[in-house]
Amino acid sequence: MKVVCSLCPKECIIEDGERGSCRMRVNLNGKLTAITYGYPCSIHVDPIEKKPLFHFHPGSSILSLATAGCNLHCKNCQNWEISQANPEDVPAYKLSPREIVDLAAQENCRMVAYTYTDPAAFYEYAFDTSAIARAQGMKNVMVTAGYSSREPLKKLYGLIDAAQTDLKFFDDAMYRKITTGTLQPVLDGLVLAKEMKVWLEVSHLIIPTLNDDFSMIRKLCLWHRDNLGKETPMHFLRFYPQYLLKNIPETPADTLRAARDIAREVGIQFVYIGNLWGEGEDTFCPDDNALLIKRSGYTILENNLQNGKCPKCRRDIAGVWSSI
Amino acid sequence: MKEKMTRREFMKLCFKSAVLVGMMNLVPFQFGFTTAEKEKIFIKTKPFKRSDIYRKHDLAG
Repeated sequence: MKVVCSLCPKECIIEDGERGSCRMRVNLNGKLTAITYGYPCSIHVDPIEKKPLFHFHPGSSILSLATAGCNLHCKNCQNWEISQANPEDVPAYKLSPREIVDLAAQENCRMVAYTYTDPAAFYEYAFDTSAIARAQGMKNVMVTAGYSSREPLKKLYGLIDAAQTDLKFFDDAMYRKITTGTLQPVLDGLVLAKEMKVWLEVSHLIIPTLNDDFSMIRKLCLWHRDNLGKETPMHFLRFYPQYLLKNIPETPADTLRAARDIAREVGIQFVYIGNLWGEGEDTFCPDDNALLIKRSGYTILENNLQNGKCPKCRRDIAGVWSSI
Repeated sequence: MKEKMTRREFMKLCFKSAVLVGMMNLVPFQFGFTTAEKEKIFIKTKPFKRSDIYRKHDLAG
């Protein structure tokens, strides 16, 4: 019997014994089975800044995990060794959701991140782990490409405290060509996160010749300002040749700086540059330009915020700043 | 042994080859030898070591 997987907008029709585009959801005798449930292939304790989340409990450690497989097949995927593999080909740990939460507690992590591949694909495992983590008073973070169907995403966001969403292109044709996804569901998911009061930060990897057109970046920034709000942080990330796009050179630093300038000009208040060490990582007050947080890589060098306010003008700075 | 093939023999050979190629194409789909069900899904597990979670890695996100 065929089954239709409604987890992501691809809506794979899966024959008996076959699997969906994500490689991890298999039709076994007419039943859709998430075969990586309880089998994370990567678990690490990371700084929250690595996600990147700059306005969510800065300086905290977060237990981060992924299972093999992904519902997108981005030609530039940095984690392609696990995201584009069959789960059978990647050795994995056997850890139940309860064991994950216990492990986080044991390592003094008060947060769990579903990251590296896409929690939109290892959905059930992320969902069950999130529920247990929340019951224990922990926070849940989702790092995602945002290519999910609305209903399952809404259900998962009910348990998620912060999301880092990668808005890969602001052009549907490019989305289809490079990622095998489409643009609109990602935009809808971003708006949904905002509506559901999930703390949101957006990243945009700038790939030379594919999405470094400044008029397109301006359109993206305008959409971001109008739909997500000017206080939602945006991270422009530097591309390095990866996976199937090794023919494209790394993003010039000036392109990233120009993109940041466009975003600021449009009115986005917190704009960062990622993967360009030593630049574009600090947080400034949008009103008086006072240095609020000084970072170097994933390390916080200075945190001048006082109860989430600028120490000079006392303005509230958007974010979740309390220690955890 | 004949040195030359007649036109009829040549056509017969072509027909047989076409049937054979057609069958070769059909067989895998018919029996579905690559399906997950047949290949028996088995996820290789590795033992969990605490040091693994602090190991330096270059995964994004």
